[in-house]
Amino acid sequence: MQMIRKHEKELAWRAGMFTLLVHTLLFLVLVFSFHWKSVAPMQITSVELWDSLPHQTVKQAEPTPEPAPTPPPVEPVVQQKPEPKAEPEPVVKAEIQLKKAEPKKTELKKKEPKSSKNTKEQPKPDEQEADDLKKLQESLLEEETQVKRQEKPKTAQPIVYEVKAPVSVQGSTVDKSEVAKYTALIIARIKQHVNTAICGNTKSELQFSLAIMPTGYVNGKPNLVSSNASPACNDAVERAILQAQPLPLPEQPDLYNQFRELKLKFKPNDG
Amino acid sequence: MNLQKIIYKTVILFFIAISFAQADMTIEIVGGAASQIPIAIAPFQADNHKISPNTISALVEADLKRCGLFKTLDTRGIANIPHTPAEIKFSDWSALQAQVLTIGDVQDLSNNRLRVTFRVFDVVRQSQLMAMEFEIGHSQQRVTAHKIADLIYEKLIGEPGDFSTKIAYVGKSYNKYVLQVADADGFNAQTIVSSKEPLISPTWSPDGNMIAYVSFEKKKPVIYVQSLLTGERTLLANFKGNNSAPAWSPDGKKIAIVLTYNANSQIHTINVDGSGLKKLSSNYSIETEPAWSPDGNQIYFTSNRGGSPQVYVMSAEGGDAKRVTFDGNYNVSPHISADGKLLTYIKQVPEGFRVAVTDLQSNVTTILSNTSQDESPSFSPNGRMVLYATAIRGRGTLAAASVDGKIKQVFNDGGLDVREPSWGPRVN
Repeated sequence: MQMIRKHEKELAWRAGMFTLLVHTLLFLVLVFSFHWKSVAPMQITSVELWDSLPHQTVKQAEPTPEPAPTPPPVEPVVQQKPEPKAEPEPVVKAEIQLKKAEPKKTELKKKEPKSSKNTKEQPKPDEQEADDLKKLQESLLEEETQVKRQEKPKTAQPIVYEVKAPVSVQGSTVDKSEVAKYTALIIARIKQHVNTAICGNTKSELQFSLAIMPTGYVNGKPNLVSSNASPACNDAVERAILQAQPLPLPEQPDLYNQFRELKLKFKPNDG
Repeated sequence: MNLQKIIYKTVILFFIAISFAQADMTIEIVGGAASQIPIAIAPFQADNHKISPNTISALVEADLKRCGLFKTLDTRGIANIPHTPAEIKFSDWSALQAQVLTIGDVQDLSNNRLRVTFRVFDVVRQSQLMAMEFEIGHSQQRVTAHKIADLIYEKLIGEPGDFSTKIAYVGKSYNKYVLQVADADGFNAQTIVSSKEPLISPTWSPDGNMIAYVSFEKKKPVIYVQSLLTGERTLLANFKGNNSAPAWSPDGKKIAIVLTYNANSQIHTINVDGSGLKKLSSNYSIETEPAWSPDGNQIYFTSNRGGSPQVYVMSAEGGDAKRVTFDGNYNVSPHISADGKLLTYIKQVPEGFRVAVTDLQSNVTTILSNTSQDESPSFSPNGRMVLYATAIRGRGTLAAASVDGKIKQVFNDGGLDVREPSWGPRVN
């Protein structure tokens, strides 16, 4: 019995040391990974998403002046990801919206990406840390909303506009008239650069696919999907697309999502 | 079975993914509002003051501007004109709304020759489109500039440029008539024939080596064919009455001419060596100014058979003719573009006689000129421009217009009263 106990004691000692070691290691890894992530260049997509957020928030924020930053800001971030997931509740949105005021874009941008990182990493660290981060972020949000209110007395008329476009969180009900409006704007913008003289005499038809960033700039380059036109015509149309940058895009994320991946069909010599 | 299931599922997922991918928004853009490529030609750098530094780049710019397909941008606002790729600040040029930028350099070599380098950049994509270098004699600057303009044109428009082609025309000074051949911009003229009697209707052989024309040196119009290479000339048609309006067939073997030995002027064809005369039309009306369709199967011409002079078309073998122009009381001097789709002619409008272009498919007519005494229109080989003669303050001069009528240019006449121009073929 004694022997066994002794043995157990030894084991316990070893086990204790081991757990301690592992915990320190884990802690180190955590700290290290945290730093590493914050230094690493952010993915373009996440930056874009944050960029699009502020506008929406600004608009919606003003009409409902209850900043109530209760829900965790984690959700909004998730929601902002390419596919408009249904998780976030309208309230949450309102919060985020409050975060960013249009005039203070740059400042806010700097702050927010950080918070997004934090939120992203929350699942990894234990809950305490997450809570701390949340609190920190919330306080930041509050600060910002206050600043915003002070700075933005009554320049926020787009509210009305916002109301007009009932963008459901589900992403299913997107105001079709808004989509049509921006489609027309995009057509007009590109068309003014399309050269009919180069593609002139034959019935040419070209199709490009492109990914558009919320800034209105083409991500990468337009991809020629199909064309029966001359190489010079293909080039000319591609130049027209690029010269039309930035393309007019809706600010609301759900509306913008409609335009993220575009297929452009050209018939330069018709019409 | 398991593997099969997995494959099955993967395939289904794949198709679902595709269907999602196809849910991208498609926007259709029909037509376009631009007809010119905005291009900036940065003045070429010369490292020697003996050379006029802007000559070549200025000529390139003038050529591109003249054809109507380019909007040449003023580069004077750019602080540092680049001459090498490293010096290009693309933001400067995109601010200028340029899609394309040309830079270049002219170096004086020790052996009394010049090295001309040029590069073309896509400003929007910030990439180089082409780069080339020529070593030339001092006298070849003009030719080189036209060559560069052709290369840029072909790169951007996708069809050959016509800036290196030649034109022929008749000029008159005092009591002397000259038949001259010049560059397509009207410069660098050389006299081919000089006569005290009138010369008219020069027409090019398809290979650009010969010119047929009408001379009055025998006190009546007769047709000669003259080699541009040797200067040697032969009498093609000296029939009773008038011999006029030669037009070379696209295959170079025949020439359509107008003869009046039967009282009324009628259209004939004759072999280049003067043999094989064939009468195509036989009417009581006046038939003149034949012009071949590019395939050589048809001949367009002017006839007053309907009461007023109009453009008609008939088989190159003769036979029935079909009326082509209907609008107005006076449509003469037809010429067909190389693709056979456009017809240019002189049309009488209330303001006078103007150059018109009719799209033979859509039947849409555009008046190109805004002068009132225009004559002898002919297409450039690529059909993008029309060369014609007009009168400015009572004096004949050459002019060219883009087929959309947007760009018009009057040529420097070199002190001559100039008539009857004809745009030569593209010779490679």
